[in-house]
Amino acid sequence: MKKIFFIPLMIAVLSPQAFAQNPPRDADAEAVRAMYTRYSNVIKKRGFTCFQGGENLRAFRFSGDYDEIQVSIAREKKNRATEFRTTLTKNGRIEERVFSFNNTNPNYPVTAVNTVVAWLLSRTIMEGESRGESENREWKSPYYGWFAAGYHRAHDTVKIYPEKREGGYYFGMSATYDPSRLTEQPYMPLRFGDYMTMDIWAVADTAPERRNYVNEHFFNFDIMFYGSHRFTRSGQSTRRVVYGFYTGMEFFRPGWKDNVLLWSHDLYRDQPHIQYMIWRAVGWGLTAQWNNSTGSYSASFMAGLGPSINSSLFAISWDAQDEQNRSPLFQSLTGSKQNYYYSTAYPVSAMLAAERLWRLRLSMGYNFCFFLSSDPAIKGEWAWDILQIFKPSAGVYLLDNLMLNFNYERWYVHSMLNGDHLSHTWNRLLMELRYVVR
Amino acid sequence: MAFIFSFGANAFPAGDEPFSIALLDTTAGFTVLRDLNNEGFFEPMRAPVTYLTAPTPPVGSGFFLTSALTSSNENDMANFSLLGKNSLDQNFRFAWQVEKGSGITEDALSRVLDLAVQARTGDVNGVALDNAVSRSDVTGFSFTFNSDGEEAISGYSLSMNIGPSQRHYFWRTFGELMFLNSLGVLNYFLIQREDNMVDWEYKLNREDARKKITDGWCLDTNNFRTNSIYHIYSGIIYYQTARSNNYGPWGSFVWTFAASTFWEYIGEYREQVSTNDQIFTPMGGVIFGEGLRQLGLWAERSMPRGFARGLVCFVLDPMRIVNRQLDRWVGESFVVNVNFVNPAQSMISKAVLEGRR
Repeated sequence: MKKIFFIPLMIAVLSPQAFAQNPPRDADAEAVRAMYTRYSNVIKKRGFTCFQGGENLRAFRFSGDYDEIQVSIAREKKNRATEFRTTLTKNGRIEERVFSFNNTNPNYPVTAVNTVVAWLLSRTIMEGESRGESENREWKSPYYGWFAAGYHRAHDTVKIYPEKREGGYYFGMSATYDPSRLTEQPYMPLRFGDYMTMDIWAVADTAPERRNYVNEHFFNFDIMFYGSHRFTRSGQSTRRVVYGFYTGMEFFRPGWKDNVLLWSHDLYRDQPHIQYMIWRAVGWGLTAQWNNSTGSYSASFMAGLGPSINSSLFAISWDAQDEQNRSPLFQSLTGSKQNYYYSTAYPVSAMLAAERLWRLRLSMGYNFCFFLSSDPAIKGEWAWDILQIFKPSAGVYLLDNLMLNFNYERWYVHSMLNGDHLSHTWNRLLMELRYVVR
Repeated sequence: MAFIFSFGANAFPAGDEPFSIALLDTTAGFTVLRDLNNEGFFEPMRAPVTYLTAPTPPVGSGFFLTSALTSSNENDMANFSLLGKNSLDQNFRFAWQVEKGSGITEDALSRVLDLAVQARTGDVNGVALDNAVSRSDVTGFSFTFNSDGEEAISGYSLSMNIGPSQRHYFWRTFGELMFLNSLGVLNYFLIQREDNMVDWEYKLNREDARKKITDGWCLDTNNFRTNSIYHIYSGIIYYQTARSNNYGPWGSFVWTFAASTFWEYIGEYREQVSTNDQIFTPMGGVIFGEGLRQLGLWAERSMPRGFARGLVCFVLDPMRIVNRQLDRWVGESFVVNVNFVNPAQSMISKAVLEGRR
């Protein structure tokens, strides 16, 4: 029995492989590795994030724009020479050079590394490049979004919302800074400013006597301070998720001029309305995107909290006498006629969208915000407000970048002040032409 | 200028190996190296410095630093050359040129000496490629091949930008924020005095100042738009001021908060400090300031050069445009050529120098 085990053991131990020397190190392969490593170490210090895999290296820089570099180095032995075919693609500009070294020189790998790295860096360090000088190449833009103009009309369940019988001119824009989507990397960490969204819209009244000011206006800025991007591709289908922590500010106000559109003015004294300003100190958000042969689909969600200033339905319908009797939560000074209170806001938003479904874009959005009075100096008084916005929309692409969009919004506000409750609903309709930028 | 360019010779890394520096001004009447030596410029290097009055070639592993004055078109140019040899037996030469009397003469010399000291104990390729090019002040880089083929590099060329020092940026940020707050004070006390008087509680005296501090912060009663638009816009300008003075997002936030605090305590000394302003000014500054800054950077690279681009960039990030112009006024670029010198060439160079002398 012992022989049965001993003989195979000896064969294994004494086999030629066991005595063979370690295979000679592939100096060329090591040189290529060193080229990648030294090059990436330098450009990392200049703000690039590098990913090395197999026979190529990809690097990205997001600081306010999008820079993309791809490097591939192929090696080939030709008698006494070793060739390194080096290709550098920077923002769509492709350059290639073949370096040849005498491989009988024992120091040639060091020389090769120094030379190839120097060439790569010399083609990389070119500050002040502009897209204007790069018409013939594809330099991808990190922004996408739209500009829109249209007709907007709002009315409520009781009356037409502040003298808007005629509706108003609508102007809006949305921009998303999202450079990581261009990388198609399976994973990328995102740092401060690597993902931002900006939404702005305003409505100008059509009434000639009020055309000199903008009425309703809104903005929302969110900036990511820590997050991740994940991407997978399967055939023609792609899936991408961006999630992380954000900070942002959201603002809505029904009137521009302080001295006209205050609660005490006719426009608002008799009209329910809401205005708010939220600093979303911390928000957690997720955006998922799917692309396949039928279209593009996306889902987004964000929840956060932070200090805010907002109005209440209880702060309307006052005359000068009532002003003296209002709740101290409403911080107005005599004469300043404000109707807001300081609060903590808990905003939540969600959106589902299908894009390029045939020529259509369909979306469904929902916004919720709970405002809770938070002025520590005022005791025994409390208030809260709930704002809910439900917003389906449908659009059709007339041209590749031009879309006719219909947007309906139902705004619901519920106010509580010291146990009393009020609520109100507005309906809004928007018809707009969107110029879409990808 | 010496105040502005305080990069200084203190940046030299102290080497373990002893070495010496030999200085030689090769043009009669142009004694820039002697003057720098007399001013103690080389002292931080902790190396014996010899000012040569006769062209004696240096010995050992030291630096041989020479200056020469040349005239090109309208300008007199100061040419510098630094010859050295390192522990790998590499002979190298750094050569660079600045205008005679330029404010960056010392800073350029500092940076080259910094590279030369690194090259004493390491591969010159490594110093040029890995250390120098990774610096953000290197704005251009090229190299030359040996004339007998493509197998080796004979030298590098680095374009280095000498901008203001970090200390300069600090004081410039401070000055600009003071200036902006001063404009705010003019507006507050002169233009919108009537509106602002509503919540004045303190007078300009020691008792009220003490009371203002002990009263602490409160949520203010200003109108909605002042709280939500004007203060945020102030924050944007504060943030972009610091950001365009070479501070990162976190440093710029600290400056924005400091400027807001200054405004609340000093600018608006007649009012109680506003908690909401102290939140919305710096945070609005960070959120919108960074967003608009990035948009401005992108617009600058995307739009064709011209008035429209300038206008868009100025609207999005005015302080970056202002500070970039200031940088151009006080900063300057120069090109350093780094060459490998074989021993024979090194001797020839020295012989030429001797001949010139």
